Amino acid sequence: MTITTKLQYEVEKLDTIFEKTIDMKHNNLKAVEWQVPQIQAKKDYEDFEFQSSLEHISNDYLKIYKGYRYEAYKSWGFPKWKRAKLDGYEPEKYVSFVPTSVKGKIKGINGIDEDGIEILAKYDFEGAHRKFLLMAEAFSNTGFYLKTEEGESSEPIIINYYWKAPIYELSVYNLRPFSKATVIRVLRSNNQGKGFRTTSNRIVVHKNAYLELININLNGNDDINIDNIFIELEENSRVEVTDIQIRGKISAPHIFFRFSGKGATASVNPYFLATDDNIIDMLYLMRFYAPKTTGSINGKGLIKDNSKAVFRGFLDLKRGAKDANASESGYTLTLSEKAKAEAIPSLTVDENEVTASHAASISTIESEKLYYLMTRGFSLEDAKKLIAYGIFEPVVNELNKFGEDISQEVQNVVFQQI
Amino acid sequence: MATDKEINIEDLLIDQSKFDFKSQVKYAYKTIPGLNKQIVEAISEQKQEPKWMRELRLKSLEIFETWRDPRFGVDISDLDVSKIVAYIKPDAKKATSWEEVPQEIKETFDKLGIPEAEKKALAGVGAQYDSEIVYQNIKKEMEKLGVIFLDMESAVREYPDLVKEFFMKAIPPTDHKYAAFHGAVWSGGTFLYVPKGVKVPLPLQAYFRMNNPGMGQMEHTIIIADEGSEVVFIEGCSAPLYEATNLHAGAVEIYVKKGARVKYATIQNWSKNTYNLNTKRALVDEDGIMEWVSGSMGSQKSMIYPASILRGKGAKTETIAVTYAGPNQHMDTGSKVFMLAPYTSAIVDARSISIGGGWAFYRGWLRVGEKAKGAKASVSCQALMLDNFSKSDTVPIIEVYTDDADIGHEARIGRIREEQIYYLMSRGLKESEAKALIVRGFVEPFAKELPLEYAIELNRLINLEIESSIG
Repeated sequence: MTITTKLQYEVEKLDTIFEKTIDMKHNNLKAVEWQVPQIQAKKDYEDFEFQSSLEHISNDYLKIYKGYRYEAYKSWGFPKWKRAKLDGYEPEKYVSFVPTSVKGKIKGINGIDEDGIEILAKYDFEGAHRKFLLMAEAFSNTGFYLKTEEGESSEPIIINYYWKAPIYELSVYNLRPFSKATVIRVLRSNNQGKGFRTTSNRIVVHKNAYLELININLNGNDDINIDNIFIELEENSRVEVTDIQIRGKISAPHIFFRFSGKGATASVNPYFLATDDNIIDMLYLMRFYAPKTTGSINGKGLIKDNSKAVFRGFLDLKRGAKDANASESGYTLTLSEKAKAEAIPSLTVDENEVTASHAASISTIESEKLYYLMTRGFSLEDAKKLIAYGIFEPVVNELNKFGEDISQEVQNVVFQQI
Repeated sequence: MATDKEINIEDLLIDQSKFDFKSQVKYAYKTIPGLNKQIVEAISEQKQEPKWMRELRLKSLEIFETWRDPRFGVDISDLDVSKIVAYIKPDAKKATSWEEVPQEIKETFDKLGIPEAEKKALAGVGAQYDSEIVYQNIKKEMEKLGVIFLDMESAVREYPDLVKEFFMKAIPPTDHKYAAFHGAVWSGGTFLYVPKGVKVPLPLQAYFRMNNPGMGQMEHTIIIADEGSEVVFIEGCSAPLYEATNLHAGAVEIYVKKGARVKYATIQNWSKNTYNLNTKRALVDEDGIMEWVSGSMGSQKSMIYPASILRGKGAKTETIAVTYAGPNQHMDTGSKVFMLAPYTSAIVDARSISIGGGWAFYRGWLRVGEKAKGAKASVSCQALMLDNFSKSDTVPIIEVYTDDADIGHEARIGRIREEQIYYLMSRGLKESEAKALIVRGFVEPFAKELPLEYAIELNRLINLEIESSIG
């Protein structure tokens, strides 16, 4: 079979697993699903941009895949997001290559092999919105292919993104059985204008493999950052994600965990900080198919000024996920009168032999805590800062193990902003 | 539950005929199925309504015709409004004593135990049969205190200004498509006014019965609790099972004035061919208290989210809700709380039971507005899944737009563990009895908010439903 026909075969046999974000069906009953309104861009990317995106790609598999995604892209409009206040989108001038710096053993997406293509063909998801996901795939101007060897345990991989032009990332991570990998993705705003990033990351963590993924998003006030990540968890695999979202005009992480293998475990710890007119609209979704799986979502964050944080944590337990254990907590500390905190914790359960719970709380700093610190000589402002920083302290400490530079940088940004 | 001590479980297993019986009753007037201007005008004509009401109906119809279906909740695509008979007037005059009620209708309510309950424990009763109230009575003492307790049509005639001031003000026809539908064809329901400082010592009750196949019941209830007053209102509903789809699209508007307190309890037990698209809303002023006690047991599909709008400083609300989703039932229920003033507080305790393939969906909306300084709210959702082919979902939306509020939400899903069943069975209970016992424990916080007769009724329903679901 030639590579082209193999890919066409993969795509056409239609056994792609497509994970919708919200799946409102039960036996012969269905519920009405919210349809996000779409708005056509006045000047959307077309063949010219698509052809430019192929300039840096020599891999035939990938070209064909991107072709399919471009076709699909055309049939969608940009979303109207009520909570994130997005009224469609006009794409910025396209640049076919954006620089990144990488430390560690990872290839550019052009180096993707048949296994990687199979991952692209086999798993599909909606992302924060289908249009943005397809945009990242069709017009990718950066991206990576991580493939570990069976049993391998490598040094942490650090990817630095530079916001010189709109970033479109298409990446695939393929963690072979019994291997371990740590990936740290750092996005820094250049604070020079409106940065735009949308990504598509498909990650398969095979049997007994372990992935530690740390996303550090240091957005500027005018940046839009949409980070779409799909993680497939096979038997006894383990995944730990830390997702740091600082500022952004709109920062919309969408991380989907698909528990397909028995005994798989995952946790995601989001930390968010919104200031000025920022909107951080997060979605962390765990869908449990297999028995004895464990997942937890633990979000914490701060909002101040006129900012808004929307914390969506979805736990979806499907029939057959016997003895699954799912939990979620979300905590938002509000530091100013005008800031808006929204939480949508959702728990959907088709299997009764599970343990599932969620909790969300929204509050301000307790005055007792402030008084205590003020009796110790702190000014009101400093006391507030100290308490607020307490939310980020665990993650800053955690980052220390990857070198002081990164943890110091995050600490500085947080301190500066609170 | 106090009732456990007094009542043997075996005694509670009743036959379904208690609710599922069809009465042969003549009707005086019936519209053709569907909804159009002629039908709406005919209803208004039959009721000899003032102009403003007729205009409100026609305006609502216009809105209904242009509005889209709700973009969430149960699938109502197979609900064909053109087949629904909007108005059936029973051949009976409004009576204030049961003797005056036609025999067949009285028998219906006798079977449902309404006249008996009235004697024992109620300050007043309204009974609606299809589209009209057929019986309305209030104890003389209450009347002397100035309490107005009337069917809505009589209230429109006798207190036009008072009704006009409040009618569809909390729930305008533009609220959603079925609020507009309701506005066009509403019929029956209760008007209750409790004067300043009057504390009604016993509950008032309304019972709604749909008897005809393919009909829609659209009663409108208004409760005005004036400053410092207190009242408990209970609503019950049932219908026999037909092949044709019935629609219930009622509206309940409650106005809790300064320092007043209203408790509104519902036991909804519509037959499993009913679409229950009901709207309930309370506007609560300073230091007022609104309590919703909401039991959703029946219907095929339900969308019901009792709402409290806390617009006065220090206003409070409490919602205790139990939803039961049995075979083929899709119950989309929940609560809405809008905290718009300082020092308001809210407690929501929502519980659901799903069994036999049923789908219980909790949908909550809690908004704490910019002015709600010092607001406190806690929302708790618990779901009990009795098997693994049922479904139980919880989706609350929490919006906090002030920095001085303390808001918490928690939810968990549970099941009955085999050990619990074994233990109870080793004590001589059948499996269904053991499950029913555990379920009754689960709904106890709800049951204890109900008057004794209703708590017993709830237990009967639970036993009956679990018996038939386990088979």
